[in-house]
Amino acid sequence: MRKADRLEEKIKTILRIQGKKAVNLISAKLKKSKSYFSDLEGTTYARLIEMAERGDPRARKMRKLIEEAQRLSEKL
Amino acid sequence: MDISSFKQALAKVISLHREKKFAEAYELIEQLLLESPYSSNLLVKRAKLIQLLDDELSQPPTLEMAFDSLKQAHSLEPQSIEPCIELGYFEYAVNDQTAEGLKYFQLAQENAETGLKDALVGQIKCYMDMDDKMQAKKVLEKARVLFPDDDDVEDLFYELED
Repeated sequence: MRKADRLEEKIKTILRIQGKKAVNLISAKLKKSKSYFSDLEGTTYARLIEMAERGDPRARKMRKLIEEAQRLSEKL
Repeated sequence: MDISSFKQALAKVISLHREKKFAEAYELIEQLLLESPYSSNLLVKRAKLIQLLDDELSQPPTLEMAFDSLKQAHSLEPQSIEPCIELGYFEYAVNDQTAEGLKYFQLAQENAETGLKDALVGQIKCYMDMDDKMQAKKVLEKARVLFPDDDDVEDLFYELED
């Protein structure tokens, strides 16, 4: 895959998930992680990024879990 | 299971993963692991699939089982890059142990660099054997930039200079 195509794919993924709630982006199994906070599960990915950038440690952990779930679902 | 059936089953696992049928892919990986319990590749795939599972299995594996599979894969093939990368991500994202994750990523880098150096040295030797000094020097230049203090690379440099 060319660099431009890879970048396009990445942007598409971000656009696809940015408005989705965390609960819909993390598998049931990853929800068992200590990094999952159920009171943040209704928060969108985009909002979690904002919160994480402002220094919220729980949002930072949730963001990492979402990105891990995306990474794992892209390639086995 | 013969090699052809094994390859077919492995291709099926990848196809199921692509279709997001993670539970089916996981069950097939478990069957393959019965045939090859010490396959580092299968253990890594099992760990990745476990993390993607929803609650659709009657006896679901735990996240700890995913972590153990990765550790087992790493102990079976410590020089392999993929178990290190996956352990790195598991520590970083699932366990939130970033310092531990970093250690595994650094180990993955070391393993990758060793592999890359061996691949470059092998190419240089082949070009030398084929009397293609120009190509040999081209690859050697790259090797010297990436591995400036490496004895094997320096030996080849002097050999090509002669």
